[in-house]
Amino acid sequence: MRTDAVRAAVACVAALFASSAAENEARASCRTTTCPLPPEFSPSPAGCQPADFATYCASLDPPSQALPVWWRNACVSYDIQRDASRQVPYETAVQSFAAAFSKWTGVTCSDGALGSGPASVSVTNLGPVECDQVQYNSDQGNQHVIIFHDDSWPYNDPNNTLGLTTITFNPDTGEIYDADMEINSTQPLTVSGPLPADGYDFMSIITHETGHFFGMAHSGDDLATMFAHYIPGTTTMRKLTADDVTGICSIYPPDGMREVAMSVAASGTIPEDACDPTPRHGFQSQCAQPDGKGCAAADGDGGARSAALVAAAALIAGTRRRRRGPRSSVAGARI
Amino acid sequence: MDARASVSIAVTWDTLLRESDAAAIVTPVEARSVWEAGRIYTYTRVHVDRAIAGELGASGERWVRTMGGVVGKIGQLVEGEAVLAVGRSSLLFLRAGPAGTLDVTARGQGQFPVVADVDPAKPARLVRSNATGALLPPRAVAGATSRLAADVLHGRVVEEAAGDIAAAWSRAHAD
Repeated sequence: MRTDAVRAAVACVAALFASSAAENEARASCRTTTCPLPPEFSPSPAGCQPADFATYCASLDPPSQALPVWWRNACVSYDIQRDASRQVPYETAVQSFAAAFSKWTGVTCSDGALGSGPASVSVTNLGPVECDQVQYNSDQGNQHVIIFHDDSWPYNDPNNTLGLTTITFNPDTGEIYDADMEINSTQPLTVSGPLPADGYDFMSIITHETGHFFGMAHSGDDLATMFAHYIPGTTTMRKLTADDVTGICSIYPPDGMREVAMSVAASGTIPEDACDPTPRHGFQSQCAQPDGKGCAAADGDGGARSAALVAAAALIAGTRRRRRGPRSSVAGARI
Repeated sequence: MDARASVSIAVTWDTLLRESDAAAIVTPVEARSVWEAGRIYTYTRVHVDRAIAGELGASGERWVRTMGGVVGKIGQLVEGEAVLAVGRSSLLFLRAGPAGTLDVTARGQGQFPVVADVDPAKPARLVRSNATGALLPPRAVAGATSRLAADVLHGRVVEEAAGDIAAAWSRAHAD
């Protein structure tokens, strides 16, 4: 039986040998953190973060902590937007995402002193939803929606981005509150049949993206599903490697504990919550309705209005700062 | 605020030039994050250290918009976005965004951090950004140049790269 004492002892031994082990680290899998990696840094088998990462994060505006992200609950849900895609009909999407998620949740962890067994996270499809926007609502229900964009990609990179996962989290703990995934289906994807030599394999892409959904970051292992580069015409990313399994098991070990930063819990672990796949603040199929209370209300001109507001606020704040010195950044309306 | 979850096709040199309105070496000065229709966007005020190509206006500072950020007790990660850290210079390829702000063309692929050489006597160089999400090679198009922007600029001395960008810009924006 696993105990906190065993885990603490393992953590102590790990910490004791951390520096020397880093040089010979066989594990390349990495976890997503609440602080962005410096863009010039690339994860490798030697490390997931640069040596001065904590200092770098503290220097950001606003200062950030490098906390790994994680789902607290043993059960997490997702939903597919009911229109799905002309390339990927709803039923096909259901089957494809069920297969992709199950690759991660179906692993068997083998973790020495901490025992072995399945990863302590499961995923449930709550069914088709109406909402076709990525959003997180602190005052209304949510859905962890998967959206296909057939006709136009709503962001500034329509010709390059194929898949985009947005993770909403608590910056003080790293706990994931919400995750939404968008697929750019204005681009041709190979969903079934023979994969052309230059084809983009849909299953490979979503297997990689679902890894991000769980909090996995890119791996330094070039054979892993979570490696940052995909070779067209191949299906190798469909299959998890030992490195991928090590990664998901480190976040969701069989004993149901969540390894977190010492600043989050002195023991370095938090127990999972009992299975409840309901999204934070409840489940709803529809997108949130504008509340009309603040500048973040969901409307079509939000970007232009917010940009103008930010620019105006910045002019005022900049003037004050020059008089009074630095101060914290502006908070938005909806959290 | 972080960037860990996207899959993108690697942008070609020609596309990056053609889809940009300007290119410049910039240094972020401050950042502000706000909610917009359920998403967090971060607006970063950047000082334009060197305008290389295109029109950036007369002001020495501009606001650049990226997805993700932290507002109060909520953070959002959108992988593949440019990572603009205060005080850290980058070459950015930029396009017009909402209300006079700018977006980074091709998101993280339009950012090339400026990295000083360990030898201070040597000039700074550009490096490719790794905040790009997973990258896929572009499909080959008959008759088209397929050099990737990252291959053209990675490791280049800033001065040399700026000259190449300015020269190629004229061709890319000839019509």
